[in-house]
Amino acid sequence: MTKKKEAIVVGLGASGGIIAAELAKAGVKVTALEKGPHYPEDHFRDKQDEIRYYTRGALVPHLSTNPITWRARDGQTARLLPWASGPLGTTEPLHLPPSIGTGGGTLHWGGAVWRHREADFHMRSALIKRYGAAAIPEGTSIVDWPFGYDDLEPYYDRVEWELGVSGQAGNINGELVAGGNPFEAPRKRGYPMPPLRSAAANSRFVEATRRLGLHPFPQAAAIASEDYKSLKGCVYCGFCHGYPCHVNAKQTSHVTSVPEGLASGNLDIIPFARVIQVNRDGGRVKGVSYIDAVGKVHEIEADIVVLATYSLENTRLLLQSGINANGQVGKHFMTHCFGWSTGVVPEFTNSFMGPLVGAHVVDDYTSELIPDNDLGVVWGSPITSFPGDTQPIEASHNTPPGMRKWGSEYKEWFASSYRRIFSMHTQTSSLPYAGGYCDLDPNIKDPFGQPALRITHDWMPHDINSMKFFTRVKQAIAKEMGMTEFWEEPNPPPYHLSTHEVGTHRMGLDPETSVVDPYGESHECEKLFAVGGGQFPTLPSYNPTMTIQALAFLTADRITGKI
Amino acid sequence: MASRAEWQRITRSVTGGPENRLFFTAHEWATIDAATARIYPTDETPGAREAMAVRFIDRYLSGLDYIFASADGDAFLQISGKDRDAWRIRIEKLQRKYRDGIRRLDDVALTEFKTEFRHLDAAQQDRALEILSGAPKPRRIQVAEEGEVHVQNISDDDLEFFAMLALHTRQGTFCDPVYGGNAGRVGWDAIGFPGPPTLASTQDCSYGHADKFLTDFDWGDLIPHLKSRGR
Repeated sequence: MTKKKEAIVVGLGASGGIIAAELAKAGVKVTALEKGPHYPEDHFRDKQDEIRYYTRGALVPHLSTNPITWRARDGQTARLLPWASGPLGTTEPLHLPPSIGTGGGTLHWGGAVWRHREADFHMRSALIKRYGAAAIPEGTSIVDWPFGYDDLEPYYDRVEWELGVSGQAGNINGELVAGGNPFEAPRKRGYPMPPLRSAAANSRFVEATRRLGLHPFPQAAAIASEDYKSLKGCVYCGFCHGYPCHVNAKQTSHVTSVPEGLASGNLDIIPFARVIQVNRDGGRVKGVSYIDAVGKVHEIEADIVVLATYSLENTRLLLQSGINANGQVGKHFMTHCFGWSTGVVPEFTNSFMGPLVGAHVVDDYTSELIPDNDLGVVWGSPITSFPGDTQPIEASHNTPPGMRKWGSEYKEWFASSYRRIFSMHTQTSSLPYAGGYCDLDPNIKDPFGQPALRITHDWMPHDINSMKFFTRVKQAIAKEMGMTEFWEEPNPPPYHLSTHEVGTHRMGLDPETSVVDPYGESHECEKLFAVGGGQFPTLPSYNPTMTIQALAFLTADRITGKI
Repeated sequence: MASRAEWQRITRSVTGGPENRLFFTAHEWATIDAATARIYPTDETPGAREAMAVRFIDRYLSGLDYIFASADGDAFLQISGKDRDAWRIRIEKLQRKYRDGIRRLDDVALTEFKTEFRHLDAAQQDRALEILSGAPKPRRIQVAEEGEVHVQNISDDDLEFFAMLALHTRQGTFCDPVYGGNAGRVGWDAIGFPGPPTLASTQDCSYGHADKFLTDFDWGDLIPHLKSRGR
């Protein structure tokens, strides 16, 4: 049976939640199809359970029901993500696709938010200007974004003030503000909430980086430091990244957007609806087909369809629906290397307390600020402290190299070190290259008969050298902090999924070389929007979510005719 | 179809000892109990044995009734739909790995010491586990060493039996007690993790550390019983 709707939004996460709510508030009748549950308001009161959320992955899509495969390069047979498909079927939720259900990835995210740097919007031009055209690595498809920082600034401002962000401004209208990031792009006004408090041991990081001549500042966070609109002030419980928030301090579309959309009376949510295909009528979108909770296939029609199902699932749906005339869908896959490093400091850090983003950052080497170096690294990364938010089971796996994870030596080490753990991480950007792409897996199907998405990606020399460069920097900070032990994840890392996958339905002005326009609308299929990190032409080293949210407001304004 | 947010509560027991076992045979229970006691040993503080890690593993392997705790203490969620199928396949695989792994552990013990693993002394058990793990004792690396790449394993998945058992031992020692391990919170107490008083008590949003983020707080005062031991 076919029913005509005004707009269909698929996925109620970071971008879909915003778009569904903005359209509904503007009077558009919206039907939202969500693969996961429509969580009741109070569902996450029960959350301090490391087994349920972190170890057994209650929020994330399981690979057995939502398969994704990976291989390093063409010619190999891809298999289910090997870093996430062992006997437990899940690993920590940072290396699987984001959570599903109302709120999506913003249920479990750490909440690190960034406005991209001005240079992040024109990486290609910036590289050529600094190093010459030869600096663009062979085989990469680095491009400039179709717009600049100034175009997006009002939308960053909306995210910060409409949804709620805690932080310390560093540059208001060109005036540097003490205590903030001296390298940040100018903003029109500060944040609506002061920064989160950070754990006492974080001062070690702050003082050490200052002694090294760096410029630490508090991480801006999508976590309320005090009551703000529908958010409540953080209680620093220490079960943060990977967990839903039980007091609604974490800014998630489940709390900030979906309830407003529902209150307008124009938003219908159909949970457990797995969209399997976008339907079209010539060059215009017609609707979607989905499988409901009992396995029945439905076809619904609408004037407008918005795919907001994460870059990877958006890509899968576009490919499965045959919307790929120019062959660009799935290309330009990019993700982050986290450079997770862990150290032990002499005094108590009480690593179990606080949110991941109750942290400080140094931006001295980020993006275009990276100094000339012997490793040929041309695009840098922030270095972020990780002073808390580490629960016992998570910590118990992460032993220094050379120590086995059992026996009396291990027990003695863990008992004395757990409360002294202090971590750091970086986020080096991978570059889009011809061999890194997504397509439909020819062999693996999900339990509903739909083909899995296949990722083909390997870490390139620039990735490995970036990790090397920042390992040196982090080692220097670790020594200056007086860490007694310090170790880092392998380089290259075993994962190729960081919940920061972007680029696979690239936006651009040229319909031949991009998939969607700057508003997220398909070049090929009118009134079909594919939004989220998949739009990113390049991947800055900052966390992508706030830019995804800003782009969502932009798309909503476009659909409602405001721009 | 109820799924995830709508899963029903089911009450299941996580109390008692080997007499209340659900998956292991008496021999398997005793073997795993002995192995966990060497993986996270008892010294001046309790270890995996006191935490009842074996009970945590037994409940986990018993089927689909102990996967996700519900909020209110002694209850679990009734998984349904495709998730149920996926978990059934996963648990059956784990059951086979444990049955096979315990047999191999006894084979090692019988070959080396002519005795089943659970009857060996501590040093012999350590040796048997070391052989089973296939890994000799590695060397420690300190931050001061130059030129070393300091690596960690980020994933504990796709594990062989011994590594999986060690993983489950850690989980069973540091989980919320609602899962049958960390009995009496001994795992948490030994490392200084305060933890929520009970899962149910988190429902009133009271568990947190906001008060401990005041300036000039003496971190060492947080866990007095450890401080008194000079840790």
